[in-house]
Amino acid sequence: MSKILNLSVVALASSLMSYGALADGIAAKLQMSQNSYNDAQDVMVTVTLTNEEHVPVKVLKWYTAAEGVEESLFKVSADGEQRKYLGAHYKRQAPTHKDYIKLKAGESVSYDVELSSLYDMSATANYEISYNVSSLQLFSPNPGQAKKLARLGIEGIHSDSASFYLEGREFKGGNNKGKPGTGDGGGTTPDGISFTGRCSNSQQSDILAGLAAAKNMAADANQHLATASSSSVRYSTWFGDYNSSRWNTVSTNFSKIESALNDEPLTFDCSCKKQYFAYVYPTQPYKIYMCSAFWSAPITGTDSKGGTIIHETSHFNVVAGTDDVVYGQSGAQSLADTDPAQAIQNADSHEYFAENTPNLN
Amino acid sequence: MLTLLRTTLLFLIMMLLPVKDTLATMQRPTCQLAANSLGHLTFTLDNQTEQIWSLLTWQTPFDAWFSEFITIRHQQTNQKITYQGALAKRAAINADDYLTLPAHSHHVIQLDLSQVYNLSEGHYDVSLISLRLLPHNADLSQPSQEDDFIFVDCPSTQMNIVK
Repeated sequence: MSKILNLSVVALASSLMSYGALADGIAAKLQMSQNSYNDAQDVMVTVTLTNEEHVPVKVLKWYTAAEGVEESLFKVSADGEQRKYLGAHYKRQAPTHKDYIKLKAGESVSYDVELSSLYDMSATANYEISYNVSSLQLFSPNPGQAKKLARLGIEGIHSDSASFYLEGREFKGGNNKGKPGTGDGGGTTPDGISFTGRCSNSQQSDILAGLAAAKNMAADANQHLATASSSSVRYSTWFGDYNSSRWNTVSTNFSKIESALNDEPLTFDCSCKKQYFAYVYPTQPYKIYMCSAFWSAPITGTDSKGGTIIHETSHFNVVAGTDDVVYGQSGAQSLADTDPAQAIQNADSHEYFAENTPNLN
Repeated sequence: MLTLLRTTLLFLIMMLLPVKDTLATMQRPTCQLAANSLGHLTFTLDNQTEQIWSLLTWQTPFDAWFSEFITIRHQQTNQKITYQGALAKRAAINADDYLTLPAHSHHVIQLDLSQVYNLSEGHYDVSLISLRLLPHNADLSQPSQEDDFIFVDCPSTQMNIVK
């Protein structure tokens, strides 16, 4: 009797499979526009999810990129070695109807995803990626249906793999390399520059270009302060009337800025999404948090990437301990006119002196 | 008798009207600070005027903790307590950086100072940077110069930290 029952269960299951009420569900396809990347290029992939059923299917959007990547959606390997997901994992409540997106029969959705900020791609290697998600709650907010799918062994969306070659930045074993549990996903360059907060390839490259500009600006500022006469227009524009003690303070500040940029272990974080250029905790050298205005700033000139790094470095209490007394060029110029003692404490005044745009002697 | 009362009332109202107008244009929002023994600071902003004001939220309690807008000094030593929060470099001011204060509105915000100040037991003076406000007719989409703002100072307060 029990044998007959077992057989009929098998028969029922195979009939469900063959009719495929929800058999294969969603097909995933990956597309990449190039098959070789350098260390300054972001690794963009287009994910297309298609409902290949003849009935509508609901998919839990946490496992799509509908609202950005909020779970590990890919399997990534470099020369055959699996790469850890560095992005966010969310602790959530059980999904409700509004957490699902509905795909009609035959309907497709596509998402563009940048991978170098989500997986460690610092190594030069051949990379292989595939879309690979599984969850018992993936397809329906209806627990009955979830159980049915589980019985049928349908628990995920998987794509074929795509491969590409990437010339990586080759991080050394620094503080942040592969640090488990931080979700930072950083690494340390051979020059001792660390990245945290999921900096993509292009963001790392922007930061390094900004840093190189900042070093040049700091060297130029020091050169000017060491050689210019006390009637320097560049000095008086940003720091006010000449006075030897204030001039010396500014000189000390810039020599400390320059040595911090060249000799200290700097860390740049890319997790800030605010409209700022950047921010720091003055009591926590030498970590700088880059925000959205930084990425669109020019490398040199007024309010540039280089100048922003000068500004932020000047804030550290162990460097110059500057404040934000006023913001902006016109504010900084009036401060120089009216209150030179405050101007030499102001971060933007240091930045504008270093950027020297327009060029003053 | 009734007519006389009416005339007097009318006269009084007419006398008061211009005064009220002048007061309204001179009036501006006011603010207050109060700190408790745990280091919680309550910031109250009152717009008791007849008009809408816009507050630039940079360097105010609405900006915690991305700028240093509070000064805390130990009363005995006059030593300034180090701010441990963040300092942000900002792009130009835009409309989102303002908080609208409707006429007759009241805004309260509470900050836990121990998040960014190391406060040991003792008496402190707590003061705030001047608030920067624009009257209701200002164009918030245009970059504002320091000269455009109307500054409002909050009276400083005392704080007695008990551990």
